Amino acid sequence: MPDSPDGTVTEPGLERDGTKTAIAAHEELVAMRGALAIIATRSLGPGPDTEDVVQDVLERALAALHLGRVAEGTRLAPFVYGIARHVITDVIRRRRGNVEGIPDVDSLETPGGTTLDSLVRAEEAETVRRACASLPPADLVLLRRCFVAGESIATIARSMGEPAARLRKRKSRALDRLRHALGLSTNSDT
Amino acid sequence: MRDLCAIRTDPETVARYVAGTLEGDAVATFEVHLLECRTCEAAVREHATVAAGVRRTAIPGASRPAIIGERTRRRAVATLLSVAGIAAVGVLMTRPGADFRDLDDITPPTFESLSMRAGGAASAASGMDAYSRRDYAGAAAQLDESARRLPEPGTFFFLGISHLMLDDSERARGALESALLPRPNPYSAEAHFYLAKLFLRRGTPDSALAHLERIPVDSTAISRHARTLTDSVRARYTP
Repeated sequence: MPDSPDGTVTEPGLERDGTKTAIAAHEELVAMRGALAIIATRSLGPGPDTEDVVQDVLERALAALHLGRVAEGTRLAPFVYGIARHVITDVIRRRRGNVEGIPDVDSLETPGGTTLDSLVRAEEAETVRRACASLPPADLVLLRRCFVAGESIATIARSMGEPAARLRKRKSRALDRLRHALGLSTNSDT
Repeated sequence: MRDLCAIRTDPETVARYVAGTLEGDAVATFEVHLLECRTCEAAVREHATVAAGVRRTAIPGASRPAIIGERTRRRAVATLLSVAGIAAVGVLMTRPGADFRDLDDITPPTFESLSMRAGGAASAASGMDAYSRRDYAGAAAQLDESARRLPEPGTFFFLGISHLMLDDSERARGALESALLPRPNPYSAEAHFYLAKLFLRRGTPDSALAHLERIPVDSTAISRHARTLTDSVRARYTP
């Protein structure tokens, strides 16, 4: 995706067919704020940069809308995502003293899967921890492998020599207990 | 806005995204989807909450994924000795007074392409493929071979992480210390961080703190993680 001089990212063809319905596009953009915060946090870690990135992306996207750069009927998300990657890369380069030639340094920024912890309220995490303490150790190990290590049920089942269906059921039961502890409705599809 | 969410039917994508193990184009595909799917946004937050809670929970008497062996054996021996009435020996074999169980948890860093980080080392590609598949034994064998032929810090770094995941702390230490050279290199800060984890796992917080102190204080994520870990260790242990 080429960058324009003002820093926005324009997809080829976006400017052809007039402007996207302004109000609907604005509402759609505002609704993306939470997801943008997740994306920025995952790439940059928690901190003031993250909120700045969200604000910057929204401002650039709004400006592009007002300038008629987003054609009606165009999916807004890929366009906004292009801007987000551009802004995030700028922040990473700035942090590294304008080091050029690093096409993607995301992997360097994340020593583990803890960067999204900042999105979680401490009391929620503590509630989950307390609920976890009541789970059988085997279920805790299973949840740790699924949620902390990000392993698939199929991988875990292979390594444990257990049927995947049984592990899915155990995971689902354990999650239902956690959801109950958090006051959420139970749902077995996670 | 889409009403139907195909990704939601594959919750492992969400779990891998939160855990930092979703890789390559799949991250971009998921993040574009995330921008227009409130269901998946909520799922990511829910997964992050569960992950944060689970990570804080000690697992009594259970080993962690791919992190079994030396430490578990040491605890088992200590327990047996305690039962046999020589508890003091058991305590000496475990830890010097402080418990770092929730601090020595190791999640391997994600990897996308070695060339992105090290500007070369194509010969390590098969080792890194194994690493990405979490085949740490395969990764260790191939990266070891690669490091002999092309001794680069990136190769040593992921070789060290692979040994760490296999709970082979001596080999992990050797490889991670090799990843510190030449100084500085793009891997030095992370190598210090994982060496600190290794020493916490061994129950030697002084060595862990020494490595954490060598990580430059700046605004990078690794620096923040190092400061947080340093504070947590110092809260439980006074040198």
